[in-house]
Amino acid sequence: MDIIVFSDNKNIKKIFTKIEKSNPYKARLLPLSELKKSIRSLTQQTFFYIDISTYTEKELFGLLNLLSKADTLSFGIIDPKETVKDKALLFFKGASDYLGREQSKEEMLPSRLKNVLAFKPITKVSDRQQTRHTENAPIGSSKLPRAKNWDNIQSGSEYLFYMMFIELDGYHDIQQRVGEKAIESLLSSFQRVVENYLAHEKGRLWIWNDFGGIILFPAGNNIQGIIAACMRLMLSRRLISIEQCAQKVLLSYRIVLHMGSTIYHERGKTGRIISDAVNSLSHMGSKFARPGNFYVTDDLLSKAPDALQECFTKAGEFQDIKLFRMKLPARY
Amino acid sequence: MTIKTHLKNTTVKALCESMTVRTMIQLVRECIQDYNLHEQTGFPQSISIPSADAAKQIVEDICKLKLFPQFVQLLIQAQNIGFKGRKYPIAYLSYIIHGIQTHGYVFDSENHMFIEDSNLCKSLNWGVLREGVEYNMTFLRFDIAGNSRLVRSYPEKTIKKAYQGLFAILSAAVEKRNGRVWNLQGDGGLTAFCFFRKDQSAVLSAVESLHELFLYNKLACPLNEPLKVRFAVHSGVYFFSNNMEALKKNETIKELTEIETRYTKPDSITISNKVYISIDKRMADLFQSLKQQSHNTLFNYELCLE
Repeated sequence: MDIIVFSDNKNIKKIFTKIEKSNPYKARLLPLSELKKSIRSLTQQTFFYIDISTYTEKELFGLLNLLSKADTLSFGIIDPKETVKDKALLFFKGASDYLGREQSKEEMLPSRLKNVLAFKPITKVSDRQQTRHTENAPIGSSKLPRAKNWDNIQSGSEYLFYMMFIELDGYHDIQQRVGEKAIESLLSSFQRVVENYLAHEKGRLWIWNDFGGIILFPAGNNIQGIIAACMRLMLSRRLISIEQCAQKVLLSYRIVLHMGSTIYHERGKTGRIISDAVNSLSHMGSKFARPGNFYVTDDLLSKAPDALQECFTKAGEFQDIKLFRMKLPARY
Repeated sequence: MTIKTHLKNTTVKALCESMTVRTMIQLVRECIQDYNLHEQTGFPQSISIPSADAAKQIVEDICKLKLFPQFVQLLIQAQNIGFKGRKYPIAYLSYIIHGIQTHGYVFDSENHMFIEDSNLCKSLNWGVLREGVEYNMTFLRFDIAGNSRLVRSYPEKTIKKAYQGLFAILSAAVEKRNGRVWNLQGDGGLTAFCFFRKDQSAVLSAVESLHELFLYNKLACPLNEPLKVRFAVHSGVYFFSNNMEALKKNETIKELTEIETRYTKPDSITISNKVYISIDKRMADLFQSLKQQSHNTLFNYELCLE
């Protein structure tokens, strides 16, 4: 098993000397700057310790809030300066171990580590993969509610959502080719089309900028219907261009489907929302997705029936999130 | 459709104020050949018929024969384009047009015809096609590939459910574009388009059906294999008949059947050149010319993800 220690102090690794000597543990030291990036990739059977000696208490609880959302992670805190006043709070936020001033000076015994792991057992990789295929298996944070309907979603509370990014490709070109009034009409047609195609799956336009935006679906719904609706949107681009838009343009758009949590606020009141998932999705849509393509993250696609999975091909990773791309017709 | 009394009365007034009895007769003969006003009114041949009596009789007869929409079309034509070399300003015409729209008809600007509003009613002749009259129409034919094998391999109930799914997809795609499903056989069927952008509507219906069928096969088809369907679109002259047996004898339908059976692969759509040249370029670009030497005028779209 891997034990990763995030610290800028090389001496801290000494704590794990005895642990390393006893099989099957292997300790690795990584700088604290790697921590946030690594959280996403910790998909293996891993336990990690964070040396918080350089953190203020405020920074520490910001970090713990982030960690507590990823419930598959198990971690311990190394606090050589004992800056944390209320240690119990660490456990409430999901920590499994606390090494104070005294413990930081000693070599840890394997028996302690066994107790730590038993305190919060780590989900095995195989188990995790199996649960992905179960309809109600948690992705991200199982602690957060998955609403089935919009009626059950309240403004100001945090929920899990299926999130969709969609944006028109090459809008700068379109802006140059058609007049201001025509572009207004085109954009409102596009928005209406997106709403209509996703209404059946309870998709709701949430953040909408001129050329695209983010649509939320309550995560208690079936993912296969949402993936199929996005596929329909892709396949129908010529029908949409001809029948729904007054301008003689052939629309092209890219879509990314992801899952994550966010505090929900009504449309138009989303200015102050801070969500890792929304942020990642926007980056995937604007930096990773190629024009005219539809991507879905690994976690979501693995929950779809095999017949739908066959329609996708590996597309690489973005910020350690595996993505799959929908195959398109030869003439599209 | 029963025309309401106030609309009839307005039309009578419009005729009286806009034209002579002679012109009324000429106009009505465009709808009813050999129309004899004296016979209809009972006035002796030697006596001229008062304008009000003539108009009243004509409107009654037109309504009785369910030709009111066609007659209003003639009035519009007489005002806008002219009739027998002269334009007739028709009194109350905008009121009459509004009246017919409230009776469930919409104006098809391409054919300059009133047709039934498909949101309210869906009859096989759009409420206006007349028996034995020649029309330019577009047809979409579809056929389930390997029907005989499927029928042998699956229980009747399963096959029925699978085919019903396909028919529902096709009917939705066709009817929302003002097409009509004329014939649904066990393993396929024929749909017809007669009005606004009929070629394009037929092709769009076929493309949408093919895409929807793809998703249906992935998610809802009760068979252990995908349902494969061939689609073909062609246009031409058709003498309308309520008797569907007439379909088999029509040349356009025969050509369509040949396109579908001989030149269309399962999961694809083939369209004739006549249709290809009249559709939007954005849709035409989806189709590829078939390379057969004898039939280089056909175009095909195959749904194959890669």
